Amino acid sequence: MVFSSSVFLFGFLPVALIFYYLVFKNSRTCQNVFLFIISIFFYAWGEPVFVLVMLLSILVNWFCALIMAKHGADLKRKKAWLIVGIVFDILVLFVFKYLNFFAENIGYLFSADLKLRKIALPIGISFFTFQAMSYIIDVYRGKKDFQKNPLYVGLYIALFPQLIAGPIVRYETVADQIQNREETWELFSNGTERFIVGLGKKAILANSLAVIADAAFSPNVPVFSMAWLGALAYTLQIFFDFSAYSDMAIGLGKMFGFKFEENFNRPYLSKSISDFWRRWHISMGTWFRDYVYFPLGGSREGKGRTIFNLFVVWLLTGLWHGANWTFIVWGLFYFVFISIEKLTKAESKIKFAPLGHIYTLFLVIIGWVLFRSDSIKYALSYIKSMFGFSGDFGLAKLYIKENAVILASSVIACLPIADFVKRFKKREAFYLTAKFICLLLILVISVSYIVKGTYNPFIYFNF
Amino acid sequence: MKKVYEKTLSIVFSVFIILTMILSFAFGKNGMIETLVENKDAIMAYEPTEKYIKNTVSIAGKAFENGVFLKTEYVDLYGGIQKAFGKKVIWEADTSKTIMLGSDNKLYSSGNVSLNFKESEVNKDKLCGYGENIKSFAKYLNEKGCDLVVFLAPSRYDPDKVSLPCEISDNSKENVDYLYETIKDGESLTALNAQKLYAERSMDFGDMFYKTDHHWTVKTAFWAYAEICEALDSNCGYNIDSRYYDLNSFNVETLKGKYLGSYGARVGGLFVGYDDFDLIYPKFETDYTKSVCKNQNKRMETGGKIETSGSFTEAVFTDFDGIKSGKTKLTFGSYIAADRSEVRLVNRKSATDKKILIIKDSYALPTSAFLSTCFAETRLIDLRYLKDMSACEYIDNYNPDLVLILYNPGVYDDMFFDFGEEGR
Repeated sequence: MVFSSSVFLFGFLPVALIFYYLVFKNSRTCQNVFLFIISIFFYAWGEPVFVLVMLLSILVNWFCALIMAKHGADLKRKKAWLIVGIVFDILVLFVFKYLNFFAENIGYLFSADLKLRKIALPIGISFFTFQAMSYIIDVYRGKKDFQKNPLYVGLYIALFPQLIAGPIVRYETVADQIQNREETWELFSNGTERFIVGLGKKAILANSLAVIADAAFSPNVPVFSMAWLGALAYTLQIFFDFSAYSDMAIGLGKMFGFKFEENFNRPYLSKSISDFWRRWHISMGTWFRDYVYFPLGGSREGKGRTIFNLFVVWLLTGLWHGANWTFIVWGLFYFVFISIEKLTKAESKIKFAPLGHIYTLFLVIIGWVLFRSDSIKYALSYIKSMFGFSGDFGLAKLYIKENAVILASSVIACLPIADFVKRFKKREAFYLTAKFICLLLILVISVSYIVKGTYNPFIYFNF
Repeated sequence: MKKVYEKTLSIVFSVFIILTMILSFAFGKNGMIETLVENKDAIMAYEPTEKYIKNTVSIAGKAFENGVFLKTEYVDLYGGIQKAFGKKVIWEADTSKTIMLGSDNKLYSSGNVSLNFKESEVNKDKLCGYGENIKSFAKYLNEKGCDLVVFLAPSRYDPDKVSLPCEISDNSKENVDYLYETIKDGESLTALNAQKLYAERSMDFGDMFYKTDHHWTVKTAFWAYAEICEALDSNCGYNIDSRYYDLNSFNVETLKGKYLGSYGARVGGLFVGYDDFDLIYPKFETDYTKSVCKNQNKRMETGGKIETSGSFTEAVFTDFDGIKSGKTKLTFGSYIAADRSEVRLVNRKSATDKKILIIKDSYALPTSAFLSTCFAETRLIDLRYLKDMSACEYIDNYNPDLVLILYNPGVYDDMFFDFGEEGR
């Protein structure tokens, strides 16, 4: 189920709120059981069969943690069960996400026909598998106690706000909230604000930008002007699409008393590539940092080892996004620039801020071209076209003219307007009234886009 | 103040979504039921497969979406916002559904292209083939003592007069003229080219069509009806009493700003406004029985029928009073019925005692309604939905005196010109 759909907004969510706050208001256990059941329903709406894979993953990870807890101080056995759990999670991910790609490439390498039956990719598999891994690793590390009740592990992994496209919530972040959370008017209204803003970003901006990006990334490589417009549109689309989902997820979490960590922090204002990755998909970045980079030794074991560790992290980051060479190259593209920045300490050397912004944004845009392309060959042709200075401006002009308001609004929305708006906070009555009206306007306009049935894909569903 | 704000926002949002849900089920259930009925076959064909489950879930989702409270108003608002943004093209993921605003302030769809020839130039070979099919069909009908009239409806898009923000390769106008050239001298058939006739009569091209719909207006459909009657008189010796096709013999009620055609429905009424829609019905006495097949894809014999009897307004319109009062949604199919494989109109007070078969698409609906005043029995078949029988086989059973072919030129396609083995 998609958040920006009538079924979710006027079907699923009202029912969830009514039962949660009116029917089960006096029992946290009932509320949790209810949240788990509707989360399974939420996932099954889009994946009626693969929901079983997720349930199996929940059970296996719960079981592994249970056995780990039983072994107490026996670190060897504990580790063995951790490995069992992780191998299971990686195997699930491998079978559904990478097996076809792997077989295809091995076949190509050895000139053998290894084409397997196409395995469908369950929606959001990378997200819930990473959360499952986070659970057993956090329990193994003793950061949190294991959950006796498999339903609560299920609730952590499958909780509908973050189930399909993150943020990747760490077990240590929400473990206590499962049984001890507090729902307040402040939290609910704050969640509502985030949800409405996310809905607007998705329904009004991202979906409109998708039309331009899709037109540019068509099978025929576009001419220079359209190639740039398409790359810029995709750069904006992916931000508004993904950050909108995170906003809505965080907002919905708050409505039900959960506090998730932020996933974005004005990424397009970054001054370096390293800075960009501290601001973009933060939950994934910190996941890889804490569960891969640091265990490998981080940057404490010499330059060579640091580079190797970075290579592993960025290879995995690329692969996490999909089984395609474009994602792998995209990940390694960032490995190269982050390594250079780390080795040269470039971040501290760039004194002129605009230069840092331009350098970062330029590379990020090129990166998104790689990311959006179906193949390396296509990406190279596309990038070539971006620097080919050929072709007419007719189509690009039409798209710009038609989408001038959306493009301008999107660029403005990337800037720190929240800081500007907060200046009016001192005039509380005016500030809150204006905010209230703006939010209602965004809500009604977003609903008009949703009800009309505009183009409505979520990019990160595929990952 | 902050606390008041927090409570107000939380309550307003919750009430908004909860009320919309309740009101959607209370007032939107027709839209939901309609979608479920439309997809009845898919739902009933139960099989325990992922594909079936996903499809059923998707139908349920669509049904819910169609029933959302104030759906039309939200779509109108969407259109208003697009207009305020200065947009002239409303892109869709399915590019064939993209709508654009022409220089004549009418909506156009790139969808015309998908139904038209894909080539950017007129496909003469195909049109010649269609022409040959029509000529063979005429010969076949002639042997049965049946006349054939081919009325080539005009193209809505005239590239010489209308400019669009995006180029579309819609060759309908040229297709009509070329097809006319291939059949105009055919034996035993009367070919009428509406584009030519309109030009000859110096009529205003712009008024022929709705701005929010791909169809011609009801008044244009009436004009076509009168042209057909005149042609029947002069070419086939029908001697139809001219008052039957004189607009003065009909009541004309105009529903001002009430019609939002299929293009308009995709972009909302505020984008380009609503159209006027004419309810034209005879002043003279009529007595009808209309039979409409229950299932879009099945004939009455195999799928059952729904019968209505009474005067023209009672039987030929789907719901005359409901349409006038605004209770029933106004569509082009308000005349006779939405597209079906087969419809029959028996008129006990007709101008002639002859039987007509109209091979049609939705374009022909009002024209067929008016023609039914002249014929004792009028039958309409739509070759897109008539699956178990060819047009020739149908004619063998029905034995009409006249066959009329009337299509929207945007849909010229193989299936519309395949009349069956016997007619080749």
